[in-house]
Amino acid sequence: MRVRFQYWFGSTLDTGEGSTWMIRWKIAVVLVSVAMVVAACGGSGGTGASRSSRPLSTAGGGGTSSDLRIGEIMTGPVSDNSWNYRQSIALKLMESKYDAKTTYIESVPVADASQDAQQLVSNGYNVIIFNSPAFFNSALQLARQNSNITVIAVSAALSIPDQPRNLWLEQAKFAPADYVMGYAAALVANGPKVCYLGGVELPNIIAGANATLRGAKAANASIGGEVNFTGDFDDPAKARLLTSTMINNGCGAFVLLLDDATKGVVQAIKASGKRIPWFSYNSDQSSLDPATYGGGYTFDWDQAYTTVVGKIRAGIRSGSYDLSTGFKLFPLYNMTNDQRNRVQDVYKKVIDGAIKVDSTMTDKVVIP
Amino acid sequence: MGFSDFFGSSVLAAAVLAAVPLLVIATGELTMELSGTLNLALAGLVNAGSATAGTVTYVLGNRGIDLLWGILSSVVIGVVLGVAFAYVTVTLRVHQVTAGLAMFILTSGLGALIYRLGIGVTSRAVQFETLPQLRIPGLANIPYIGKILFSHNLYTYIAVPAIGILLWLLYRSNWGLRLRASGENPRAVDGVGVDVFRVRYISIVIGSTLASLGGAYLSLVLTGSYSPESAIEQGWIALVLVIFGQWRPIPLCLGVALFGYIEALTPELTLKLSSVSSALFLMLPFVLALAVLVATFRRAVEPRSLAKTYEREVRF
Repeated sequence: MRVRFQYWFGSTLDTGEGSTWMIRWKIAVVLVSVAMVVAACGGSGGTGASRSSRPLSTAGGGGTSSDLRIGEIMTGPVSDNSWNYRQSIALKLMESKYDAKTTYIESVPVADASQDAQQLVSNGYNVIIFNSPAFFNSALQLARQNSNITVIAVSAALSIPDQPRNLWLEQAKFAPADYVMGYAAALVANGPKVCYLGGVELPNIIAGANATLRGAKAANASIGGEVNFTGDFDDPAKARLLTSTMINNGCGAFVLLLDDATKGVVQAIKASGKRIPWFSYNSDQSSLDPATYGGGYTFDWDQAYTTVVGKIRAGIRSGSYDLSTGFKLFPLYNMTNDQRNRVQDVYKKVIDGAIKVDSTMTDKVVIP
Repeated sequence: MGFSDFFGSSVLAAAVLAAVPLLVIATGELTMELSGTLNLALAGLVNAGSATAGTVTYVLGNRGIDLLWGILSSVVIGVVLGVAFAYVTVTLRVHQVTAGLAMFILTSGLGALIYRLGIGVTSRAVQFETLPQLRIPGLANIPYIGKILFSHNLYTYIAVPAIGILLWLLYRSNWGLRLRASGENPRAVDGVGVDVFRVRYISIVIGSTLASLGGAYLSLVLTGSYSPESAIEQGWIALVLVIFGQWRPIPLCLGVALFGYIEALTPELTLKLSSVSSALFLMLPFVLALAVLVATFRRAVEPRSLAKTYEREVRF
């Protein structure tokens, strides 16, 4: 007996003798399962459309006897040679430094951060790091709900009202470092403007953009400035189109606060045929285009992680750590010795506090 | 803002740059849909093609000649994934929406997996070699037009005419007629001796390969890098463009041109209207996509057997 009926989307199912519908549904279920496994294993190579984690059971320094288990929630892929990559190095350092077990989940959407962090806690991780201010609410929530673990949150502020006793805050202000980058960019600009290109309009980043323009003015009072945002730290296609337009509008040097999207900027510069210097953050990216790369900076994440985790081991489970003046310059490329010396001099003055950089202009970009 | 801000040669040249992958990917989906196959894995196919092309190019040495192998590898992954999708939807007759979504999840992860296995996490920033700009002698020097049309790259010069030929074949050849008829009334086509399964297999493989090749453009022409976000975004926009084009070639091409133009104009607007938040302009392509869907979907007439599995033995 053959029975036919309409199901989803109007297709016909045959449930009679010799029917294959059950087999098909099983195949579909298997397909979805395989797909999800591959998606989970693949995670995100270039940037964060999907997410992945190192397998929890095999993470960290195998065979360690330490009770210190650190899990990190990352905003992008560790392969970005930037924000997440740099922090993954610092996390790895905790294995040798403190015999800790470590793991991370990368490319985590903000909406999933709480759930993923809770999963880490369920798997026995007792120190959870949230590596972006975008995760701050999740970090706060996790700290309040789990008094037995310690949470480290990269934050926009060094203190908050009613800070939980198991919450560390790490603040990384971009403004001081961006001031130095703006200064360097103005010295080598191949056009009438120094341009800042950031990922997302966040207060800390807006302050960095303002500092960049002021650093540029300090080097060259007649230089113009322009600021723009791609809307995404990791989308090189958007960055490519935006950069091309900015070059046509007179940008002679770029200061970037982008991760994977940096490659789109470099591609646009190459396509323009002009030698337009660019400066980045978090890693020496001279390999992308040695002919135009000017240099960059990184915060001292190794020191930050070492200090904060060290204090947690010593039983201090709450506090704050300021990375802002602990940034380091990468080698400066494609400039004369005189220019290099001038940049180094300004860098030292910013670090020493001889040059005060305004980090409070977080509301909007003001072209000086 | 003046005329040149909207229609300057730089803006229009950027529009061509942005439109080419959309044209290739959307034509791939159109080919599949005309034969009755809705492939919701399109964005994932673009992603897999982009990752494969870039990774293979880089692993082989990242020199000019390796670009050829990178592009060929994207063809191979497109064919393999196309055959897999065809086997599941045509031979096994799994529902196309279910299979498409499963394949999308798979290919979303597959691209990243290929990148990680081939390149991994490196301390050195990775950039793929890209196809150089190729100014066509004589034509590239024509004022205004030269920069817009004749200052691109080999991929563009080959892809645009090839897509034109494919669209002509789809709508003006016997092969195209059989393919479109398979998407309208596969039973009737079967009745006159045309193998519907074969037609759908071929269309899916062609469509998947084009999607994958569109991905290769992103990594080996546009950005020199692999970004799942860019790839997947392009795939979904291309899917919308097929509806925008109402499954017809000229509206499809107009839609591609419009979206490419909006992509190129957005940075210009962002710079010139700096008092308006850049986030607003970044939404433009998506707002347009939504508006287009609302405006055109009710009038659009899709192939009658779109997304329906064909079973020769079933009696109605």
